[in-house]
Amino acid sequence: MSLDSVEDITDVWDRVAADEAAALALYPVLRRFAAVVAPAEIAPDDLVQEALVATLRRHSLASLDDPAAYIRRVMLNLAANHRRRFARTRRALTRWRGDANDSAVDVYPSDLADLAALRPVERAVLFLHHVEAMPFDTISDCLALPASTVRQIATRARRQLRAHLEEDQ
Amino acid sequence: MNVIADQLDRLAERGPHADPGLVVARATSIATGTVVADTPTPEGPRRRPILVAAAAALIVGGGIAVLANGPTGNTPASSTPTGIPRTGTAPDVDGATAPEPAAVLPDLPDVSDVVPPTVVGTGPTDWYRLQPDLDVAWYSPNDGTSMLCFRTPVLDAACQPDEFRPSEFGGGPIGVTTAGDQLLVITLDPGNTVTLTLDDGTAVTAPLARDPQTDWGTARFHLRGIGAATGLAATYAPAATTPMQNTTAPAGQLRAGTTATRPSIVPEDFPTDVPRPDTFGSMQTMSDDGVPIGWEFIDPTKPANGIDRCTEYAGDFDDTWTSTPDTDESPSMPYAQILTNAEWQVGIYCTDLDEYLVQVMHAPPS
Repeated sequence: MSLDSVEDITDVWDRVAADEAAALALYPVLRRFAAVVAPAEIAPDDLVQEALVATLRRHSLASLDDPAAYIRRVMLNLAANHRRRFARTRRALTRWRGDANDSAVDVYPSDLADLAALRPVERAVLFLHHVEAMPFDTISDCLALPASTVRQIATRARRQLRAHLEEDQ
Repeated sequence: MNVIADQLDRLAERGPHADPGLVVARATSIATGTVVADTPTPEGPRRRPILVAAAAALIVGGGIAVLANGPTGNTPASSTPTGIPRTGTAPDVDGATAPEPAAVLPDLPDVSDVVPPTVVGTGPTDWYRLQPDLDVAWYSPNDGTSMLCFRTPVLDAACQPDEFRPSEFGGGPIGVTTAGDQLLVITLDPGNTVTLTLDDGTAVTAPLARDPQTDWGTARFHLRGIGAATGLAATYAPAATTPMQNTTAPAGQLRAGTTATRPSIVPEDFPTDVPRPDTFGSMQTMSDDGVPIGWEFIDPTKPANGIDRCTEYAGDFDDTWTSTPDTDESPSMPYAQILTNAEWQVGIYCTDLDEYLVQVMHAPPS
């Protein structure tokens, strides 16, 4: 960042202040989405912060057509990365310890465990559809996925959850 | 379906909950490369707005025109803007002496005895004590970048994008304020002294204390007018323009960091003789309960393009290494290979998710 004059500094400060205000306004929505898509090991607020950093490094929020959708997509990608990373670490630990214990995280009984087993994108689609009441076409725009893919994801995820629910009962 | 909706709704409210204002402030500060305090205080987030940080940079930049390493102390003309108010700086350092630290940092549980590993996360969690009054830390926000952080008796946790590297590679010294109007100048450049040239033409020189583990040099100056309010001063050299590839270690060495700015020392228990390509954009440790167990290199920007790059990479190993196909990885990894010698195991995975990674760890007991 090159700041050559007081005007430059003022401009940057104005932009930062506007971005902060926009991010704060979106925060409740983003935070709920983060809590749904983030792996259990990641605090939702950390995921929001990570996504905001990644977004603000490239764009001002005012320059985005739909900043909430954009940041949701960033969070979803980050959550998928985290999930893969934790999986790799667990596999490495398995080799390291030479045992069959593939769990790096303490697991406590919870009726949310079945949801946690879904992929982040599956939780995202179900959450946006069943809780945020978004039609599939809107979710398609929001997550930049083909509408048919969104429907497939929802169908498979629901089938998987139903199977677990029936097993539990 | 109500059951699923109810569970999702509860999942959406899971804790812990942080202060949104603090999260947003941190994010904007990190994204814009300005100073931010890492811990909240009872009176609210302790952050330094960009205006203050930028103004501080101008003030210090105006007071210190040139910073050079080496015993000759050449003093080029000032390149700072004219018309900036003088800060009344005055040299208290002369020749080969430097002031003692005016205050030292307390013993803190997050300070490690070894060079801290990079930590997957959004903030510094491991600090290294470079001077009695200066802690440093690195962390990766997990987006292929890394951050460099400082802590002194007058700074909480001041972070900036990690562009610290030797001047010959387009980086330069970093100035950090500490107690007693002292300025600590940290550099990766060789030499025994650091010379500061003030904007009135006065040159002040201080000896460079070289940290044996990190090879970072620190020079200590006493300059009136640089106090706690200044915060993190500035990077005095132009922004880095040299690609990372030019600064990576030669084959046969493992650099402990995402860029050449990282110390070349890795924890004693890790391999130092594993070659790696110079194309990785990110490197992180894998930890188990805070104990490092392996390295993970990731190139998040270049797709793996099948197995070609893996094959090329495997060719870097000499015949003391044996190669074993490893097919027990997840289907998202179309190609995986384990290379092993007596001590170390290197796993190479080319993923179809724009990732290419290498894991280095102890070989399993035979």
